[in-house]
Amino acid sequence: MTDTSSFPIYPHRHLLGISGLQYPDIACLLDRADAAVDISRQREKKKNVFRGLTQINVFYEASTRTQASFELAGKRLGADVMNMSVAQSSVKKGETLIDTAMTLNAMRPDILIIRHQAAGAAALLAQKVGCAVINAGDGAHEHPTQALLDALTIRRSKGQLDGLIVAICGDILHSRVARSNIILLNTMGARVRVVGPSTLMPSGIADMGVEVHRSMETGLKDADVVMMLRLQRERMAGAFVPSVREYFRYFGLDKTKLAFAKPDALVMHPGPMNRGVEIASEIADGPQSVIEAQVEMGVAVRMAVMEALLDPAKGGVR
Amino acid sequence: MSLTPAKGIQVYKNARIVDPSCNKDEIGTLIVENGVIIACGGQAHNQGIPAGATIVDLDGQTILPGLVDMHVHIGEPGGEHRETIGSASKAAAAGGVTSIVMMPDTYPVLDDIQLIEFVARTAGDTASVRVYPAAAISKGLLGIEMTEMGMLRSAGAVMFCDGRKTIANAAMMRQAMTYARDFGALICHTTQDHALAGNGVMNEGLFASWLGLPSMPREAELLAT
Repeated sequence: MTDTSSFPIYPHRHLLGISGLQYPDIACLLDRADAAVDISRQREKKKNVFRGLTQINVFYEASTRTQASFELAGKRLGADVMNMSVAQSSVKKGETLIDTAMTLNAMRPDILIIRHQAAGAAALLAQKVGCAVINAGDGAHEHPTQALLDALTIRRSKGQLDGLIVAICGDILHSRVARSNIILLNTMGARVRVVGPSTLMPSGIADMGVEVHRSMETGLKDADVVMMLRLQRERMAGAFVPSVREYFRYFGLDKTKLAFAKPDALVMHPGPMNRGVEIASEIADGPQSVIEAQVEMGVAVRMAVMEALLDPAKGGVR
Repeated sequence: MSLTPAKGIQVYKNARIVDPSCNKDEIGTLIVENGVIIACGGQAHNQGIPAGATIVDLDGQTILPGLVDMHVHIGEPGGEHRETIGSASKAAAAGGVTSIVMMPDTYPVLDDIQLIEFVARTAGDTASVRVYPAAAISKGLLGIEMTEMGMLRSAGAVMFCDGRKTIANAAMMRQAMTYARDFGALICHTTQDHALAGNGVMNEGLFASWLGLPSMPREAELLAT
C-alpha cells in the first residue's frame, strides 16, 4: 500500500472549485490520486485511514456516477458513508439549504459532499458547517473533482499536461465541467480551445483563457485531447440548437471530425453520454476513447481529495 | 424551360442602355452571342455587326440588367390553384425580373431541407427565371424554435425570414441571429410589433382614416427594431 504520509500537506480546508488553486495544489492532488488508483485495483480495496469518520453525500440533483464514485471512495478509505436522498427528505417539505446544512452539521460529519443546482451552493454550505466540504457540482459554476479526474486521465496517458492542446466541445454555456477544466488546464500549462455554436458559448468566453472555435475542423486541428460535453435534451429542440441531426452533423464527434485531431488524440466525455447527439457510438467505443478510464480515475481522485482535506498531519479533529 | 439561351448572335440597336452598377445610361447597342453579352453601349457596334446576326431595332426602348425581387410570395407548395413556381416565374419574367427569392410561408412552410430541395427541383423543371428559396427562421413560422440553418443553407436556402410573420420573442430572435452568424446565414426579417400592427394594410394617418382602412402606427416598427 502506498504511503500517503510522504505527500506535502494540502493547504486548503474545502474543495469548492478549481479556481483559487495553484499549480502545486493541483499537482499534489494528482500525485495522491495517482497513488490511489492501485487501491481500487486490488482484491482488498479498503484502507482504514478514515475509520470512524463520517461522510455525508447531499445530492440535490440526480447523479449516478458522481454519487456512486464519492460513496465508494469514502468506503474504500474506511469512512461511514451516508447518502442523504434529497427526493425523500425534508427539502421536499420546504427546508432551506442553510437549515438542512445546520441540521446535518449538528450530526457532526467530518466531510460533506454536495451537489446542488444553484451556483455558489457549496461555498454557502462551507460557511455554515464545521467540516470539510467538497463541491460535487454547483449549477453551471464548477465541478472540481471532474476536472481533476480528467486531468489525471490525461496525465497518465500523455505523461504531462503542459503544452497539450485540449479541445472542449459542445455546450460550454451550461457546463460546470467546462469551467473547471478551463481553469485547471490553463493552470497546468495546457492550451485550451472551446468549440461549439455561439448559442452554446457563455458571454465573454474569449476572455476566459481559451481559443474560441465555431467549427470542429479548426477547433480539433492537431488536438491532443478532445473532450465532448453532454447536450441536455431540452436544449436540442430549437432554443439553443435547431435539432439533433443538425447538431450531430456540425458538432457531433464522428470519424471524420476526429480525424482533424492528432492520430493519438484522447476522446473524453464526462457522462452521461448522448450517443448520436454529441458523440458517435463508434467513437465512444473506439480505441481512442478513455471514457471508462475517466470513471475509474474518478474514484481515485475522490479518495485523494478526501484524504488531502482530512490529512491527520494537518492536526486537529474539530 | 426557357432558361436555355437563344443560339447565335442577336444585336439590339438604338437602345437606351441602363446599368446602375457602372453608372451607364446611354443610347447604344447590345450584342448577345449564345446568351452571353459580348458588347454593350454606345461604341458596341464599332467592330461592325457580325455576319449572320439577328438585328432588332429597339427605337429608343430601354435595356436593363435583369431585376432581382427579394420578396416573392408563391403559392406552391400548398396553393397551386392560385399560383405555381412556374407561373410566378413567368409573371416575373414579364416584368423584367430574372431572379426571385421565394418566401418560406408556403404550406407546408419551407423549414426543412426536403422542402428547399423540392423548390430547387421544381424551379429547375418549370421556372423561366432563377428561383432562390428563403427558408424559415423559426419552425412552422411559430417564432419559438429555430430551424436547421446550417443544413438549410447547404441545401440552397439563400436567406432566412419568417415571411409575413414577425417574431415577438426577442430572446428567440437573438438566439437565431447568433446561430445564423456562425453559418454565415443571412437574415432578412420583417420587424413589426404584432399587436400594434394588427391587420393594418397601410401607414396610420389621415389617408388611412379617410379611406377607412386598418392601419399601422409607426411605433409598430420602431418598437420591433
